[in-house]
Amino acid sequence: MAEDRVHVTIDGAQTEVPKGTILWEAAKDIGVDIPIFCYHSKLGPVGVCRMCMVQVEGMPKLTTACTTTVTDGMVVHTRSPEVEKAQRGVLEFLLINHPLDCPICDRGGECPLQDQTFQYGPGISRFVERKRHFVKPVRLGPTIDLDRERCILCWRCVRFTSEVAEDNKLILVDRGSESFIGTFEAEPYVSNFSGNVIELCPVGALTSHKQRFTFRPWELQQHPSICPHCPMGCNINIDVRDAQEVIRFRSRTNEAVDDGWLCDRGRFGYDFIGSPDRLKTPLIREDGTLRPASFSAAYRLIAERLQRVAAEAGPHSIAGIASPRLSNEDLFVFRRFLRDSVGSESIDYWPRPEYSIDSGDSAALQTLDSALTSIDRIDSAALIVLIAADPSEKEPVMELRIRSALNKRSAQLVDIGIHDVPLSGKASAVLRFAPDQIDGVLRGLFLAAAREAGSEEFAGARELLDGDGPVVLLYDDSFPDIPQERRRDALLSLAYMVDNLRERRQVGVIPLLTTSNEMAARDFGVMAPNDSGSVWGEPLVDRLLSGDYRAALFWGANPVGTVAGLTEAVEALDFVAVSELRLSETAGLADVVLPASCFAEKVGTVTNTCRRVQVFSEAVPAPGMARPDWQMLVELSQRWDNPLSYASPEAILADISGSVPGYAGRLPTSYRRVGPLGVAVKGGGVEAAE
Amino acid sequence: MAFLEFARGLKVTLSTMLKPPTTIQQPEERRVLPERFRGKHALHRYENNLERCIGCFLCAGACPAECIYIEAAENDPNNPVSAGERYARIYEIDELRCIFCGFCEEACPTGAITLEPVFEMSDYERGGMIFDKAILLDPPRPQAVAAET
Ligand code: SF4
Ligand code: SF4
Ligand code: SF4
Ligand code: SF4
Ligand code: FES
Repeated sequence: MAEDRVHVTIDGAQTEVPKGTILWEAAKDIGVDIPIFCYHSKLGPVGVCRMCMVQVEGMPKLTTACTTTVTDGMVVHTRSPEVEKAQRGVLEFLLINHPLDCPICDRGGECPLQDQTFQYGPGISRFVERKRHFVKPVRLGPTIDLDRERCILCWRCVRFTSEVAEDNKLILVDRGSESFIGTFEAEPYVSNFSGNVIELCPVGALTSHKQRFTFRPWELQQHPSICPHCPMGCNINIDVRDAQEVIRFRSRTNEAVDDGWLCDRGRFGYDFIGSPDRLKTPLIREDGTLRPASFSAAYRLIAERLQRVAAEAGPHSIAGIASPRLSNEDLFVFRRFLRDSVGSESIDYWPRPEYSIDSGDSAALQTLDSALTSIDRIDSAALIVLIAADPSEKEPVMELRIRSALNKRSAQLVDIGIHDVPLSGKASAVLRFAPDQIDGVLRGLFLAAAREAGSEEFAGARELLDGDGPVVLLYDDSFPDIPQERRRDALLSLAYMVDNLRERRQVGVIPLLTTSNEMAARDFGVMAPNDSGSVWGEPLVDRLLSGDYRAALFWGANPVGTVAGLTEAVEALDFVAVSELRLSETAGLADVVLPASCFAEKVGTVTNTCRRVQVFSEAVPAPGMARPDWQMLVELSQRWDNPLSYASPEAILADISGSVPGYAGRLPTSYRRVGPLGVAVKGGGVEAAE
Repeated sequence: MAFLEFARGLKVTLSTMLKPPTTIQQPEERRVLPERFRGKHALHRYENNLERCIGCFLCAGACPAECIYIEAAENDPNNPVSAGERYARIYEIDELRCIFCGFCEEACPTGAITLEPVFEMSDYERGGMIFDKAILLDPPRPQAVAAET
């Protein structure tokens, strides 16, 4: 037997686990169910609820499985008469003050307290005294309602805010039987991660304010999906009532991505799906106003007008701008439609980084791309470096992963940036500089001359960078705080930094992108090409402003609302077609608008910030006649000489997996084989593991 | 052989002809319903006129015909509809789909819903057979008993 492994016998079954394993985890591994309330694998053990009592041979009294680490030769009984008596007793105690208002409790039906009372409880209560009462519910903050009568004081919520989110927002007020959950000085509970306590609470004490009284768990159907609100790609379940209405998003743990958490932006961001202003039919402009029309009329008009523009001014005068929140299938077909059917290379996505890279700099992009690592590498990093990046803003759950790495594995953090971010407080070294000095600073950390002459501020960061162990660098390549003319230099000096660090230690990078499927937009070439034909050319939106085009397709992208002066430029075009969920500013200027279905209404894949390709499934029907973008593009292409012929999204997936560099050979050709947790394609952890 | 079959059939006809008819001249004549007859649903109130139904969906969950539709809402504490925090803002039963099994009555934790000995339900349209609270709910008592504290 290896030194670091121990044998333990649980209910007669032998198992071997690593030394230091919690007894409850060891039992779970071999399928022995020990009831718990306060223990949670992602939180430190406290042993306050006493539900997990087990009998360990040689110990005089029962012990809690959630605080006991296994020792070699341990023999454990989880179903002995003593244990069962203890479980009945604990449940009877937990219920003395519980209001038992299950019929109106949002947790009723999926409540561990309900379930375990049925399974292990006494069935009766001998408590005849008056229960303790509180005002209920208490509005804790914008997202959470608290019912103190239902709380069993397991501390899970308190531990979440102190150990995971580290904002210490929830606390235990008062002592003993008088204690209750609250916030410090009754301030509102405002946090990026508040929604997680709803799922953590083992009773209905913390419930969602937004979803209050809108559903009962047993009537919901669950559909595995991917959060569409940032490129982190946290895994979710979409819970749907009556196959119609999206009721909530819940986390669906993927250790390689989200570690089981969601941020509030993701968790509560589903209103747009069933919103009444969704487009239900195609619209065609007649006498200045957009009027409902049929798909065939819309397709006919688009084909006619684009073909006329192509004949007059060449196909390249037709610009195509896609939104990087479209699925892989949509983006891939958009690219093929524009290039193969229309014959135009004028393609881009929006919003995108507002600078360009020319062919001479492609080595820098290759450096960064080859160093791309997977999110779970953060866990094993010795050093985490933020470069002008704010994970809390761009990909919030990344913040929790970084905090966990810093706390659990003694990793260290260096924060190199313009201003403080929520994670700055955890940094061992902080390097601040003026916005236009970024390249000097990043290079200066490595240049010998600068190293010697460098200021005191550099010393701390440098010392950490000179250490050993794997480094993970997180950067935001849209460089929002850096003046536009310095952004290209910032990217180049970042690559310089990676190159230098790589000579001494293992380096992984994680770009913090802006929109959910931005990585795929770049990978599939839905980004303006530069002079050498690879991506990162001048943003097409800028060239629209200077009047280089005659017609434009906006596929889900809505730059008109944000880019100054674009309204006039778009109005001056001969023809504009838009595919959208609702009538956006851009769609308001269009000649034809097509109604698109959103991610919850179709099957597809997205590529996350670290190139993990994950599948989402159809949860609700699309409103009216709305269709997936890929389908509309395939139908539209039939009016050109080179039509596309995809019958299903899976056929597109197969084409992606056969033809996109880096995806080829790594991405399976069916959704079933991509699986519920997704697969990493080139760079997404694969290189690093090899 | 065939004749024997014929005679046997005719015997039934002839003997039944002489019995008094079982048909009732509904609605002039009323039949006495069994005590536990399960007919049209009713939603009840407490003595203080608060609705018993708390919109808990348990009846809808128990219903094998899936003919109960509920939307719950939060009570205004100053002007509550039901006892407690929650009430049924919308409560509808599709009586055409109902199989009158009584499971809803059995599931209800507050005794809000019962099946009454009323079977005369008809309409010219299907939509009219979806009974909402206006039809199902007992009228308020003229003299409400003050709420217990
Ligand atoms: S509110 Fe919920 S999670 Fe928090 S202590 Fe009470 S029961 Fe536990
Ligand atoms: S971090 Fe991003 S993907 Fe994850 S829940 Fe938040 S918005 Fe969604
Ligand atoms: S009587 Fe049966 S079928 Fe009719 S509403 Fe009640 S549970 Fe449903
Ligand atoms: S009738 Fe009874 S079971 Fe149905 S929602 Fe109302 S209280 Fe719940
Ligand atoms: S789960 Fe072990 S004491 Fe609560």
